[in-house]
Amino acid sequence: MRQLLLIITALVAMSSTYRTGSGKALNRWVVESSSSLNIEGSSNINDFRCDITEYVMQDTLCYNKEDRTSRLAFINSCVTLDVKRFDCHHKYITNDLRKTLKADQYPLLKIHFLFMDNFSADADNSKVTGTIDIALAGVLKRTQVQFLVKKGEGRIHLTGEKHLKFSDFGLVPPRKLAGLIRINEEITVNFLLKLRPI
Amino acid sequence: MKKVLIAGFTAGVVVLLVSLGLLYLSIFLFPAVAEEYFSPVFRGSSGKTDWLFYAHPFILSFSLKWFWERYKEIFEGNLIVRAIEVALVYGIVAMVPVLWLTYSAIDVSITVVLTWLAYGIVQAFVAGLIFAKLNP
Repeated sequence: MRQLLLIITALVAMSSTYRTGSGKALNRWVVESSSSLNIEGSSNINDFRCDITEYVMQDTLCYNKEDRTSRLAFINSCVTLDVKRFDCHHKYITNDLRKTLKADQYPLLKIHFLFMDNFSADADNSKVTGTIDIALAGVLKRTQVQFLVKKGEGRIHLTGEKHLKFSDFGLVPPRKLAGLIRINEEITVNFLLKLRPI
Repeated sequence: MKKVLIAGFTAGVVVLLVSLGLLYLSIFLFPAVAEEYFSPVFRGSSGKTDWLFYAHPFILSFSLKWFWERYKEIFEGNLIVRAIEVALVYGIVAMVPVLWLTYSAIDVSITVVLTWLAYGIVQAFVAGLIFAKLNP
């Protein structure tokens, strides 16, 4: 029995941290279901916020940490969101946003994590700069996001916001009545990623 | 003919300006109602069809101009009273049946339909004022 426990412990340790070909340790974070993302926007009628409050995909972020630069280099790490889960709390805006984002043709919003600079495993409430690729409606846009890193209860919370435009992704915001009623170009994307090291 | 064209175009321009003012006023006063225009039953703005929207006041003005020339004798009283009568006739005869049909066939709220009725009556009042002034 004791031997079995030892084997299981060893296997778990190997699966959570193993060494890549270059000899660096590969670490993993699993993205928890309570993570969320919302888009804040406005029209010439009112402001709106579209939420995805529950993260249903099972994504894992894998990274190497470069000790000299405190940079996390992610490997094939992507957060995937279902565009049809956006809820703008106004049924007409929800429908229009999904249509604008071409949800039928491109149902997934993907955020590829590339790098995260100045990451410290010990510092709480620290700010880090992440480099990500956002894939939306068939267009990939590379951008940088300032994340606030909070730690607690064995989890890491990454909070960040990014100002974008519909046109960044080749999208045209909805306009009605010959343009008299329109959604504005600028949107703010707010991230809250709850990550659990494994 | 020249009189008809001048009155029709003048009414068209003024009705267009008043219509835009009314739409912006409704957005400001009733944002929840205006939000319904994001419904998929409304056509998205495009270069091919936007001109139809802006041409509407001219279609209305020339139609009402024909009506005015045909029946203006039955509208008596001063400028305002005659314009009000034209507006009410237009609202009752032309708009109510069409809006009734619209509400029965298209997924729009009764509130929006009522704003269209009020909008149409105000448009006809403005056109009536101009016709009563230019071609009494």
